Amino acid sequence: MSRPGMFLDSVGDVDLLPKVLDAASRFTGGPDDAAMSALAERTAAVPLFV
Amino acid sequence: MPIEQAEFGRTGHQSSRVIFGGAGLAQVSQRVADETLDLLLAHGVNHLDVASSYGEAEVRIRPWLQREPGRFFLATKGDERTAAGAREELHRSLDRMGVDHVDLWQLHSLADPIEWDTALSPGGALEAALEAREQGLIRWIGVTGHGSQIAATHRRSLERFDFDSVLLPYNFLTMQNPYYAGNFNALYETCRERRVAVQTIKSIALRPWAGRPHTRATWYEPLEQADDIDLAVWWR
Repeated sequence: MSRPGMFLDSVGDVDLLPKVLDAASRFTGGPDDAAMSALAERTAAVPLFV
Repeated sequence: MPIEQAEFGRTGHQSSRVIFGGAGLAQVSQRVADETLDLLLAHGVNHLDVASSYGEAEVRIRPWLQREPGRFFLATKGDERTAAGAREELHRSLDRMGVDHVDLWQLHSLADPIEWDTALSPGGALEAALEAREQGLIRWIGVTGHGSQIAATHRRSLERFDFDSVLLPYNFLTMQNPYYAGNFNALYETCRERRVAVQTIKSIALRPWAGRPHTRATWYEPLEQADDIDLAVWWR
């Protein structure tokens, strides 16, 4: 949401929707790339496309 | 606290920065769908995005549109690539949602090169969209897609036709791919210049399911922890 003018389509699972909406409603600014790299490492994220 | 709003491209509509992606309604009961509506209203979400291929989603939002007339910017998508098929599909969508027009109709998942050429050539789905716009059945025309090539494909689509919106994946890990990021950033700049709305998907996608049990109704395994979802939603 930190990128101006872009819209975010919500998650395709209604049970997760409250967390996404709650996050969006509290948005004031975004994390930096270091925080996102740490998130990717902590959660064992994998690229969606190969 | 309502979710902030921004102008949805050139449409003049102030849409909530989070758009309700209707795929989640594909296989839920009307009761669950109606609970979801209450949640959306509580957070100020005023833009719905469904598709003819999202199971029962178009049917599930029909009572919403009757209960809250005029509240939502209404978008749906069609998968047919020929004009004849697309006309029929659009009318089916209107019937299922109980409306006489939609705000935005999108060519859904337009990534395959052969389908792309069919849809955007004479006799293709775009022809049906232009007719429908003339007839007042739709107001704006968009294009959506998925996959590593889609940012580049959307750039080509915008060269072929002046679409009003695009939709594609966007998250931190996907943007670490230089090819994808380069095309995404170029697409973003074009869209800013031409006031084309940019919608993103997969913001909280974590990884492919890769054989693990599907514990969520999502195409990819998602982030689950609230703190992690906060970061993913807030990221640039």
